[in-house]
Amino acid sequence: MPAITNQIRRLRFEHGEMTQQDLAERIGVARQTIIAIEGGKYTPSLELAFRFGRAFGVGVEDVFRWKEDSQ
Amino acid sequence: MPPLYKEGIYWLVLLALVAAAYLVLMIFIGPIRAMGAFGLFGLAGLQPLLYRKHGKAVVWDERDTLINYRAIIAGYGVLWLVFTLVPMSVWAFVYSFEGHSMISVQILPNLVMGGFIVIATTRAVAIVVQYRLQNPGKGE
Repeated sequence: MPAITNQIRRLRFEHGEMTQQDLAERIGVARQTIIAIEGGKYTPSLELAFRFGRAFGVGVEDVFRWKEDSQ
Repeated sequence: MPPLYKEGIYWLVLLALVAAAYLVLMIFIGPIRAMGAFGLFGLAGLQPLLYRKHGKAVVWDERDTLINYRAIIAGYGVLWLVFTLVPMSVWAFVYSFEGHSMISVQILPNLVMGGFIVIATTRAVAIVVQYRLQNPGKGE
């Protein structure tokens, strides 16, 4: 199991039910990469993590957290 | 479907096509002349067409870079195992008993081509496996 969890799905729905494709285009990655990250199958780079935060208008730790912190 | 994933599938399909062509030709014209079927590998040169951009969709990102990097490492790892460990130890050891301590100049070009095939095939398999592990059930 990955050590990092994410809130991407929740944040997408809180931002006007943003689709994975919309998010992908906004941060400049493929939709499949959004699927992999959301599903915890791929951990993004620090730069990409910041881009997620910027896309949702929140901090990086509001999007990604260490698993022990989110429990 | 990411272009890199398509590239992996494309190579594996091409490999199957070449193998089938070789086997069919071998029946009619013999194993040496049938090696002309390997010329079909030239169709691998069409792979860049898989990276055409459609609309705003991103065709390559950091995950593709990482997957490709790991796949290349796997390809070269297998190449060293197959073309260094086997020919330089097992093969040379066995054939030296028959007075052929060197690899024939007729075989060498085929070995080089075989090396490229091993790298490309291992890389293609590694690409497909990684995408399937990261997006199980979606095949991409």
